[in-house]
Amino acid sequence: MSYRMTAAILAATLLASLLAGCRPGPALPHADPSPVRGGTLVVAVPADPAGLDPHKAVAAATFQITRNLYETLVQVDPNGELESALALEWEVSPDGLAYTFYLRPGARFHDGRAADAAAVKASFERLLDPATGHPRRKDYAVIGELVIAGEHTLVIRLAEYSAAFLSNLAMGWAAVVPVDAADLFNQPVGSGPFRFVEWRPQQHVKLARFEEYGVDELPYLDEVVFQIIPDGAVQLRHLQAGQVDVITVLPPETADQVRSTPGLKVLSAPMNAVQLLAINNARPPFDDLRVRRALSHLVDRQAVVDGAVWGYGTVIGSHMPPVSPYYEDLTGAYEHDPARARQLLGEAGYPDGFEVTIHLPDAYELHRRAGEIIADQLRAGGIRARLEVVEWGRWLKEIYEQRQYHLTVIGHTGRLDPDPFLNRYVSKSRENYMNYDNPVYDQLIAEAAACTDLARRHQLYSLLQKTLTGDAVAVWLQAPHHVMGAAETVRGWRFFPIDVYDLSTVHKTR
Amino acid sequence: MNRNLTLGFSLVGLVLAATMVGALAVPRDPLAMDIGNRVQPPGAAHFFGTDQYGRDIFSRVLAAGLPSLAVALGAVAIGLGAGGLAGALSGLHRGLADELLMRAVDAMLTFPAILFALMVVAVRGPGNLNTALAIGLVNIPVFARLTRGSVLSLREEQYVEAARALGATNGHILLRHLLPGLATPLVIQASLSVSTAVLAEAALSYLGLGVQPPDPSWGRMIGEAQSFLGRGPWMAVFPGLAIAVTVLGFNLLGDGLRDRLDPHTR
Repeated sequence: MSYRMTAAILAATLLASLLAGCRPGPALPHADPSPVRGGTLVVAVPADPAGLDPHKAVAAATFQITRNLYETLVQVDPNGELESALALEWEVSPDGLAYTFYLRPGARFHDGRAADAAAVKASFERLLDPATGHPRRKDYAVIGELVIAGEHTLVIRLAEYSAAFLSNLAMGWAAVVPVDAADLFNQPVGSGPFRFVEWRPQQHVKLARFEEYGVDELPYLDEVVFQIIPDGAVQLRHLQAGQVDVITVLPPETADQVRSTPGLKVLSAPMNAVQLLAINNARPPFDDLRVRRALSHLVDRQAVVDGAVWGYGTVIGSHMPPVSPYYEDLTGAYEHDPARARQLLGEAGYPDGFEVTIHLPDAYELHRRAGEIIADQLRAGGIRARLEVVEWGRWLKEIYEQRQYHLTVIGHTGRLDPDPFLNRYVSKSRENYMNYDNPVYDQLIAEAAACTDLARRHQLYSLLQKTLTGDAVAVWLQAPHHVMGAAETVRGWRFFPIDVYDLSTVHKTR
Repeated sequence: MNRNLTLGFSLVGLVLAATMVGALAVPRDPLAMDIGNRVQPPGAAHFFGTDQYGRDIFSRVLAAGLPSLAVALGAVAIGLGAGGLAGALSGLHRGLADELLMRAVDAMLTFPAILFALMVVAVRGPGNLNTALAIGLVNIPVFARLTRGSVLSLREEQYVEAARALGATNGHILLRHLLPGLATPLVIQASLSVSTAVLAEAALSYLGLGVQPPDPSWGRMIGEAQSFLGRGPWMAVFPGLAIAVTVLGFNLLGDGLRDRLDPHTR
């Protein structure tokens, strides 16, 4: 390629990105220049969805599917940024209390009715109506007024400022539904890229291309089948036999096997989740900062990632995963350094270590494995850790609610806003099972939640993460990865910081 | 000595010797992890290979012997002690107490043994002591019925009637005149019960209710190896072999003892 041609392409690309920057539009989903149209994609999922009405579900199994049937006003892109969906553009008033959404003209539900401002207003009224029984209604309780300002223009006025409001609109349970549809639970009707065909419980959910979707000529596929196969080993055999194209949960220890099989590949990306060794900060000896820091120095995080998930995880240094735009890299704060740990333990009055119990939830192999590895690593500091595997219900009651523990290994998944991740460390929070108590932290997080200045907000959340790491409130281990198995022919699969599968950009090479 | 007895004695001897070695000196620390060396096949450095955390499987199989045998022997001791006493008393006294006791035993026998043990462990929590207790409880009815049956036939013997005519107490009769006759069936049953107890302990540990991590246990090792069967089959094979040899040894020992001691089968 000549220099001139390269320069021309570069200039064109720059211009294109400048133009694209003018308004939030659907980003080009992937770099593949000529996606193949048509075909059927079979995705193996472990369980039936708990109904297909997004206003009446909490299970991820529902939203993984409904993302393809319904649209939200805005949606999240793989980088955690908000992009247009049913709303092509939006404006926020300077006081942060009024949001104006400009809807996609010509947007239709699958039954032919218009998905216009009136339909969106009605959908939000349904969401907010206590009679609907929306499990997360309180997340939207800040909505004060819904005003139709034109056929395709809707204004949402808030009763009070909420930093998380816009990102809450991107969650699957805020999807826009036609309110007079007869039975969304079993016969979903949306305005998304695929329309519903049939749901045979314990067999499959079948979707077909919605011809009038009207966004970038998406989707590519003609048909999507979510096949319900509960057992992981059976899923793997189906993939190897070519009967399914994608298996959504691949145990990391079998990833090598998939990668070495001709015609198959492994898809993976960090989850919007953190795994941590939680410490009860109120219980001796862990009320002593030096002891908590010693723990941080004793744990070799990379060994935990290698041992528990065969490398399919990213080491972290505070309570925020790298996929978050608010992530602060603090992985260097406590090097793996047993000598330094022993010194700290000596200063704290435990030169010979001590005995402690690590409680591990039986429902999660990931946490049980990490706990076993950590117990072995703590021996280098003379800490003799006994492992106790507890039944999940007991874990929730005795450890999470009653805080009767010293150490435990657990994971937390995040939303798009950083606040839900970090507000569990507020001293009075009911979720503060680590008994962290720092008035400065409480004050900073209150300020961050009320802050309308985006730059300042970033600064505050960065400071909050540093405060947690400085106080060694927990030993943050890793952001585990999604690990999936797929046929080589599957292209355009994207991972999101929320638990959804967007198949509109997926295509098969044959 | 018959063939069964010889083979049984040899296998049990081998298991006991290996357990002693495991308790006193294993080649490597059975708990020490080495993530860089995980799922290594058997070789000179690791005779049985390494597991998913790079732990030495040879050392773990040896070290798992003591807790496994201790739980099994403890369980049989509980069954033999409590069941034997209950059976003997109920056989000697007859009457209402006998009726009640035997109906209770019948009721216990209606539960599948492993289900009953699972229930006990679920209520009392996992751990070696509770596992021994659970398997021991399952064994009580077995020994109770056996003892009662033997006592019922022995008490009609003329030498027992003679002792009773001379004014001997029940306790005296039990210890001096019945126990020698009871010993044979009980020893045989105990040997067979040890093998089922080893299996039961392995099953409970496999389900995550017996020995707790990181301590090694044959059942747990097989449970953990399950996700790695394609990649490292040795992780399951060696603990499986250990269970098989132990169970076979105690079974053959029981059979051999019966052939040798029981006058009816000779």
